[in-house]
Amino acid sequence: MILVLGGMCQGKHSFCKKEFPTAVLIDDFEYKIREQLKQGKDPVKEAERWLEDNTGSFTDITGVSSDKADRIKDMGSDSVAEKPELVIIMREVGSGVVPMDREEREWREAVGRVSCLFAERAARVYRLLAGIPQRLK
Amino acid sequence: MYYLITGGAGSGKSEYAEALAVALAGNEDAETQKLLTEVENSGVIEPTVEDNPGRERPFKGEKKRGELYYIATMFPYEDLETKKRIERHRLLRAGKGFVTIERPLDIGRVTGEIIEKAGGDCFHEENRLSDAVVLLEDLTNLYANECYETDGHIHEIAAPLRELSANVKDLIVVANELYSDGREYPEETEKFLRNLGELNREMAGDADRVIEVVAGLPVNIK
Repeated sequence: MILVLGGMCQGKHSFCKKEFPTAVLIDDFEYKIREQLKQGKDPVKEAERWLEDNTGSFTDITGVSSDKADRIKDMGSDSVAEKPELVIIMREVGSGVVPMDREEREWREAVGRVSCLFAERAARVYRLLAGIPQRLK
Repeated sequence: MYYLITGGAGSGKSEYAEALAVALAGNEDAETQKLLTEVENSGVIEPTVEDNPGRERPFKGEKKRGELYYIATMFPYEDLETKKRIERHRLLRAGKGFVTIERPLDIGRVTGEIIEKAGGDCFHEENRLSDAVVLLEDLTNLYANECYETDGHIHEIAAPLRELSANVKDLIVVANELYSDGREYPEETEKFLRNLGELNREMAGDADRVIEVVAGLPVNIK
């Protein structure tokens, strides 16, 4: 799994399209985290579970699950024999003034913690700043 | 050495700063180097060969272990969020051998308190102090306390910390990235941010190393 971080409009998607054209991109995790918080769930645990559920569908994660591999194939990967790379794009949202609103504070904290989890599990981590990628791991 | 560690909310800067303090206090050179240089492999796109410096501690037994001090700056307010935050930090530090000193205001007094905790006296205080690895968390709280919890008399922060850093083995100060949300704030908040930003810059100038933590990973700034 590859994690791509960066602030808003810093070139995360362009970088991924160029560098990982056949990878499966996941880029809605911040919104997913908001939903989970609304439902009273712990986003870090949810993210961990999500990673486990996807075990076997992608490279860098051992084990094969054929129906998940099929599902990935249906998602448009041009490689049938090889498992696609999983790339998670996360927006950095923590570098501002502490929000007055409690839900906003919890969301921003959770996005940070989930990013830490993904970074720990990722084979590679990139951060985009003004369109320039820097490899952090 | 004087380290300034910065990062956004939930970036893992506390965990990183604590791991660095523990490695520095244990004279774990390999571990310290690993923590400090991880990012320097950052070739932009080519995958780098996994380097594994291992856990050898070549200097074990040859150098003295440092004493770990944690300078806590939060006023222990009674609200649940503050309590949870303080508890989380206590759990992170548990079992790592930190001596905690509560100093939410007037940071200049901390040197004397470290000497006192170390059981030093007027004859040996310098030696005691020179073994200390001090982790201060965090600068924003300290400055906010000076602004909002005093009678308007703001104690100096950068100068006493510069002096402390010169007298201890290592000083690690945790700061916060508060400056990139692109929002406008009331004049009072803007003024607070400006002053804190200037303080940050002054301290980054004093520090030997400045590291930004992103998703738990260090990015070398200075």
